Amino acid sequence: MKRYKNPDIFEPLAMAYALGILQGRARSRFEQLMQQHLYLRATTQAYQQKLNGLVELLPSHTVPTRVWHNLEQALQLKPTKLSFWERFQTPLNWALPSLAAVLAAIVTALFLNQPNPPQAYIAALKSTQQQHQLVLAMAKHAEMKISFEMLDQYLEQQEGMVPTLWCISKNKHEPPMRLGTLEQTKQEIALNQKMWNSLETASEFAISLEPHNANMATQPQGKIILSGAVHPMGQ
Amino acid sequence: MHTMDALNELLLRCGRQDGVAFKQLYQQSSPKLYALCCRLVRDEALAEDILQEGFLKIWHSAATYSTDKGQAFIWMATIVRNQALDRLRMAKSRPEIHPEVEYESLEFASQAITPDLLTQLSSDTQQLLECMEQLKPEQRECIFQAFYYGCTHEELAASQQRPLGTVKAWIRRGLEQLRNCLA
Repeated sequence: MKRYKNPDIFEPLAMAYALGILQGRARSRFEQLMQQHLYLRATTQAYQQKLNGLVELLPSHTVPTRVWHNLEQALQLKPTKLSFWERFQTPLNWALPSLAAVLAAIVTALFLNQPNPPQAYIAALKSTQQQHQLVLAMAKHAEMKISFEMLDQYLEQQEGMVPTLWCISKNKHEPPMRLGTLEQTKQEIALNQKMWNSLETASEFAISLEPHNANMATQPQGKIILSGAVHPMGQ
Repeated sequence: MHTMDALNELLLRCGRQDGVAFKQLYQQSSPKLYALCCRLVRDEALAEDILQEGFLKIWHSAATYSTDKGQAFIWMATIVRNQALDRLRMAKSRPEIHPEVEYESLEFASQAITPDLLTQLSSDTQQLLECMEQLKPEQRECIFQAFYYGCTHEELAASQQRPLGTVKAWIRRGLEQLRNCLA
């Protein structure tokens, strides 16, 4: 047994074990020794930590979704359905320089010329998926509608899902208001007076992908693909 | 925050039974760990089972993790790889290597280590790669084959078409050299 206390013997064994090359009875014997001796366990763990860094080099392999579902069931994890506010805030990334520039310009202009009450609102909606997608939305009281302008790419489409615009209030206790759906052919949404009034307390616009039959939903059910702060404008 | 640091934080949160953190940890780390399982057992259904078992163990052991035990990703890789090696040992026959299967290639490990790649790796892994670079190509190849595919000495001797004693000596000397380099 003394030979296993010699680092020149046990360290190569620990490395061979960590590599997986120690096989058969030699492996079983080494495992028994590890149970008895802390220094062997510690040395082996140290080499496992060092060698297993090789996993970092592996190219990723798509994991079937059933593995996660099985884990969720086995661990009885509650479905990680985030609250609306968490879903809304988590993917936001305010670092997109172009968005920052657009907003800075808009906000500066607004502060220089803002009568009361606002006659229009504008929002630059940024993709939550980091795809540098940007949509400008402008609501005008004179026209009682919101018009959209796509600045970069096409709006994300999914079969059976409709891009739906929501107005998010500054008051977090107020539920979001569904303003309508966006169509490829008609990039505007008509507003009624109640909708217009809601813009006074709006903090954000968000576009989510909703199922076709979810037009009565009072909260976004699907993925939020774009969002951005709403700014009041003068006439 | 570096990806590896983010994983450390997520694993620590798992130790406090945070299911949301566990999901994020799974999403960020499972693709590479699954790739490892596929290579080791060469059977995707079995690889899924091992990955699942591995993550169950990760969840149940997360409370024992602390950052002084090293990077979370490598800590998890150790758990998953041990699961896979145990399964391989229990199997009556070892799976065959099919060179035509995409994940059988070792190309990813032999590619040039670019500065971009280096910045994505933990410092331990960077040091390990530098040490691996100093090995003879045949030593490196055998160590990679043993690590990624769980090859035995006999399998390596067959694949390298060299006597068993020669392959054993390559690996022994390779590991000695790594030990000195990593010390």
